[in-house]
Amino acid sequence: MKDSYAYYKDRLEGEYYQTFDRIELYCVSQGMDDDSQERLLGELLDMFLTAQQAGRPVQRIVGGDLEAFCRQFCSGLGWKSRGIDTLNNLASCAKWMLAFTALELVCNLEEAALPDLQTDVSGYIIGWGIGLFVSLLLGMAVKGLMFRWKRISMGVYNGLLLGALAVLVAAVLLLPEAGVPLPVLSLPMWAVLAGCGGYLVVYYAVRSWWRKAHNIQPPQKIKLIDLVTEELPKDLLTQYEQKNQRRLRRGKPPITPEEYTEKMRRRNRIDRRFRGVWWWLLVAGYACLVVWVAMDSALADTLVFAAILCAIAFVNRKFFRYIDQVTDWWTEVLAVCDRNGVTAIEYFQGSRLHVVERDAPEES
Amino acid sequence: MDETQLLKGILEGCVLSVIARGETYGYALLAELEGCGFDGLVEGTLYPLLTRLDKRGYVARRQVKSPRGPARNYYSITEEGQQALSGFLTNYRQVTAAADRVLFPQNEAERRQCV
Repeated sequence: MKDSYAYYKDRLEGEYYQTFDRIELYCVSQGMDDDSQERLLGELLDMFLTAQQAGRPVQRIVGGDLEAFCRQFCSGLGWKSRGIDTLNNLASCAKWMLAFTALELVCNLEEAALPDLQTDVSGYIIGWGIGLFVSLLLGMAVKGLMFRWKRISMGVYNGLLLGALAVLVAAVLLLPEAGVPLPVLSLPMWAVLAGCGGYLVVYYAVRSWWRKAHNIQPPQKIKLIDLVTEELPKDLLTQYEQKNQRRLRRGKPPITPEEYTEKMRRRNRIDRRFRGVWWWLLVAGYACLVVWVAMDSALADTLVFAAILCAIAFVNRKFFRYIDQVTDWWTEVLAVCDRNGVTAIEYFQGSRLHVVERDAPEES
Repeated sequence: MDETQLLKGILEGCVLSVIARGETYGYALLAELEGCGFDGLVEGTLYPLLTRLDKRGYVARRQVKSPRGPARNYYSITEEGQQALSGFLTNYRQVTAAADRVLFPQNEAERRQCV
């Protein structure tokens, strides 16, 4: 499972979180490329987490003028970083174009030979071009407004980007219906496949060389079990407290820690008994769908449908693996609770208090 | 007079000197410099400086992964960095000795020498 600094951002609290969010927004809106974000923001996040644990105010790290800090922090990146970011986005566009063109090829191979097949690439080019233009405009607006209007945050920025994307998709779908023709750029399918494939090969080769030459490490992977054991106690405790607050507001008695533990014990017994059953039921369901489609469709269409379901099953498998990890974790937690005569809530509170944090240097 | 120009001239050497004492990371470096009296120093000043030192080959960067937080960069001094630091210390001693003679003359003879 790949990880980036963003995963640890939620460990920041209060003013630390808000300050980091704004610095991140500044960097992202100025087109900082992914590697630079990982390197710079990762290091800054580490510094914030250490300083937060040491109880220092965030101003000791960023000073009194956040805008000046952001400018200094991003100094030296400029258009080179934005250029690298554009190449990264072009690689994403090329991946989608390659995937969908390959799918189109499989569906149409029976009709004509590869050299004769054409594909419309205007949607990808328009999408990439408009996306680039919108992110440039948004970046300029954010830079001008963010230090005067504190409501602008990463969430708002991402929402605006998604909104722009939604408008673009709606326009592509609806404008032809309204009689407004969209430009069509048809290219030979083999050229599109070769072009996208060739670009991606060169892109990954150059990126690998670049990272090695500049000693840039890719985002570190974290194991699923670390994700489960680190985050679940905190999340479950928060959910338990919030649920009890809602119950109190409705005039219902809160769930006691003993009732909660017993409820989780019953649920864990069911999960262990039916472990793996849901996954195999899902696979059986997908297999039935493929058989049903095969009865009425050509072989190529059936193969495409089966390939799509395999891809979906691959994603589902990750989810089921996570569920299995959670089940195993709960089995261990309940065993510890039984041995020590504590409830699950007491266990969460204890594990939250005793989480080993990284060492901070001693204050002089 | 603007203190930042004075700081710019010596900060690189001071950072290199701290790193030369032993491998360190960003927060520890900042805390050590603050402890020595560099008040108001922020990470935004420090990081571009570390990047410059890295690009020139004066420091080596090692990333240490951790399951409990983002990867941490540790900095250590290189051979070139040691040479650069020696050069800086020599220049610093010369400049500060000369500046001391101008700013804080010990006696009339010294004051006349500088005129």
